[in-house]
Amino acid sequence: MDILLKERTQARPRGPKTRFRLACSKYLAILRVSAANNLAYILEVIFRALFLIVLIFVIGQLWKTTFAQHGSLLAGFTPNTMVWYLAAAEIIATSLPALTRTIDQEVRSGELAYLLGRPCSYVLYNYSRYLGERLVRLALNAVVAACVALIFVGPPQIGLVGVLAWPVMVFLAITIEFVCYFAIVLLAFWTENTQPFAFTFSRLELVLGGVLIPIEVFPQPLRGVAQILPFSTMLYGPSRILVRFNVGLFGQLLLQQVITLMVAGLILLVLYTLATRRVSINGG
Amino acid sequence: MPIIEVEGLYKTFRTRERAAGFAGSLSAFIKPQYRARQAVKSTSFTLEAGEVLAFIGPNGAGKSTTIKMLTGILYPSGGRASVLGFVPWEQRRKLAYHIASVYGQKSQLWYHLPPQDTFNLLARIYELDESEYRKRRDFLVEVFEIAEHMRTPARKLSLGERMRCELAAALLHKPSVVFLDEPTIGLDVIAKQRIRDLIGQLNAEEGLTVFLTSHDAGDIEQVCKRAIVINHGEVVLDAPVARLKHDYLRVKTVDLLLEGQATELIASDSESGQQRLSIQLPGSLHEEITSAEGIKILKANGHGLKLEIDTALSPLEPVIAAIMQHGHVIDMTISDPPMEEIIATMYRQAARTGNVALPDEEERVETPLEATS
Amino acid sequence: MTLVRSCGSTLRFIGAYFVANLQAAMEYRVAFGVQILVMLGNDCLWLLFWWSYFQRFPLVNGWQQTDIVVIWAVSALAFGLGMAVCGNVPKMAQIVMTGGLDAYLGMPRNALLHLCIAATDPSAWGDVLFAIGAYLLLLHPGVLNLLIFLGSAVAGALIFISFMVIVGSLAFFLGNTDGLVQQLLNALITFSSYPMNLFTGGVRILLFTVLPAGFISFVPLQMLHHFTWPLLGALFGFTLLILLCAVGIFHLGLKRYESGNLLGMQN
Repeated sequence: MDILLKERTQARPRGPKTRFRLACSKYLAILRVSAANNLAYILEVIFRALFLIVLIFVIGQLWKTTFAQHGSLLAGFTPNTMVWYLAAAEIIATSLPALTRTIDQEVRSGELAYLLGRPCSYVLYNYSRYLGERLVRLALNAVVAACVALIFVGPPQIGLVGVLAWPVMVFLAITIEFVCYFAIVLLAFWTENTQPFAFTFSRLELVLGGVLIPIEVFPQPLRGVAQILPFSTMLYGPSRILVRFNVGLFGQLLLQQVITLMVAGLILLVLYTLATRRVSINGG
Repeated sequence: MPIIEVEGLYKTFRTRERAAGFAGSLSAFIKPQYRARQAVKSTSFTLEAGEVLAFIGPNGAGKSTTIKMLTGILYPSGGRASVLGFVPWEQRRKLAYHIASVYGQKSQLWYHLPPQDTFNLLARIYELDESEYRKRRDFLVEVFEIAEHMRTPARKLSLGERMRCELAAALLHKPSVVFLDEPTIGLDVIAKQRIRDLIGQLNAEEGLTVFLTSHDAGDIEQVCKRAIVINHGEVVLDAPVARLKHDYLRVKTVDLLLEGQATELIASDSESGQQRLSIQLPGSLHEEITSAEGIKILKANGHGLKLEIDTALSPLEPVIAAIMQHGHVIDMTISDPPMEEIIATMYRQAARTGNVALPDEEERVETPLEATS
Repeated sequence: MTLVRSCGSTLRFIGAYFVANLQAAMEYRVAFGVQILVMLGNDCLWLLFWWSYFQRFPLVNGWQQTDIVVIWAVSALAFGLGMAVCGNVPKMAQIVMTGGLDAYLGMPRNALLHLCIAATDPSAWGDVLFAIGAYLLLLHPGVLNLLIFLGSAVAGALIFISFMVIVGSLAFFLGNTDGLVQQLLNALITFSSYPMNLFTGGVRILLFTVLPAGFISFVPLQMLHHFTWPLLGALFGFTLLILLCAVGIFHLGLKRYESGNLLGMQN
């Protein structure tokens, strides 16, 4: 927040290019600080890794049993690609920082001023903070998950293209998540507690977004539902592309992600406008 | 027959040392270094039933450690203690039925519930007989005048109202000894007075023994009859409050904001160059004020005047009246010296008379200063 | 007679806290309701998912379609009951680290019990409602099976609580173990929600000892299929064992706490 204050008190006019450069370096700095902060909590990270290990192990066992009883290819997945899919999805799912709690507190405590005055700054500030934490967690989770998957089913049978396309989709996925959760937090202007909403959203995302099982494998009534809903763009999309790359599917999923991001962004904008109107009527 | 007997009680903590940074943590894990810290060094005192004791000292002096040992939460490194015939750390639960603790900064009342519900819960915890409990509760509600607050959630009560409910809650099970830790902290003057009066009343009517810890000199002056001063884990003074008052609390600091210049009230002694108070007034009053001993000028610049007045030598009222007669006073604060200063004074005096050895200068600096309320 | 009286007094003590906890939760009726509904919804969502999964990929070796419901219901009820009555246990590591234990030590009741029942988890009621609803609606049990179900859940609740006490007591010895406690609890819940058919050998041994998921969901499932006295004895015996372990370890830790030499405890 100090950084924002400094920005406001600087009186010298700057050209747009300089401003952009400065803004970038500012948010990069925030990202760096946030990342460094997270590396400090190594113990906590180790404990979280424990959860990852348990989950991949248990679901991996489930898959081994299922494949043993129902054939070696399920909707195009082999045991190997299935477990690696699981690892990839879990890497994203378990790297979510406590975004809603932090922002909810800030909004309620009266950092409102920043939100209303310079919405772009506030959102970008939080985005940088979020990215810093998220990227560190992703990296650490990736190492742990990869190790467990390796021990379980051996090296991944995936192509280079998948590995290259994966970061793009992951980046879009975590950005979509940020926008969605931020929109949920804005509900703080109308309700006492936004935790139930955030919790519900995260559960829907996990179940219908295919965190444990690729959506293709879902039995029918669920499969149709999950394919329509936007949750698949956050977990299923990136993981599927990594594990079984397919150009057509890549294009389709990428498009789905972009559309989801735009829609979510629009919802965020609408909520934000409603929030400011509510504040100016009710006076905070 | 004393109800609290402490003999040679001492407590040494063994804490693990660790250097800063990751390397430090690693070395601390592999080869831990221990540091012994003597929190309480061989303390002895007794307390009779019905006494109201002030247990004072700066932060880190060993007060809470001693109280924890007396309530059985901590067991000592050596020595013995007996509270109401129980050995606290061996018979903690049995003792708990007969004592109570009230912390000014921590609440026993459930935040979201009205005190009524907390009281009912406490009745269950202390296994109180239903009709006895109701009688006792009604009695306390009347004495503490909290009838209208009993059904309001605790979070909606003011600090003063909550404190009265806290005290009432603590006394539900008719404890013989109550340990009060900063009961008036954060309260306004009226609320403070009310709490002090209530404590005094319960002591007089029920013979309640009170063990009071406070940084507020007013609490000590008004409520307690006896004071034990503890510093660096040792009893520095064990004397009636009257003596404490006489020896150490008689000095008051008067901070004035004047309309006129402060220097108008000051005259410098031509020989010694020392400043003293000199107010131009008709008649004999001038003489008295000017020649009065015990008035020290701490600060005099601009409109601000700060005096230190030894009330034993020079009572406050004439001085203040004279100043007010001289000119308009915009603001005035009269304060007691902070506890740390009282203890420092005690030490200096004791060192002078050879009673207590002065601690190292370094250790003294560690003690943080805390403003009095 | 004093044993009976002290039992009665202890039960009244637990009851009084239970009531006070509920009263505190009811102060915010809407939030309480929302929390219950959200947890109920969450459990139903997962059950629907797994039900569909096992419809498509049924397990062999004696697996019945409704088994997944039983596993989920028993473990949810066990956890829910445990958290409703002893909702303060997950915070144990924190309480020990911040000296909050003193408040309970200053009271004339058993410190461990007092610590456990001092708070409730409102969302746990969602788990309870879900468990009972799912079991009754999807399995139509007879009276005997219902009794077995409820009894197993109570044992499961005691196992959950004991497990958390043991893990939380690590704070007495290792300092800030809050994160570890969370993850171990997650692990226990996770393993309790999946069929034992998936696990073999070493892992199975683990699940009947250190991470007792087997006693929380598997043994009750077997009893509901086909009740035998040895099974009941095993469940009862293990519950007693882990309870005693929990109490023992806590008291060891308490001794350490009372010496004041706890890691990170400043005076």
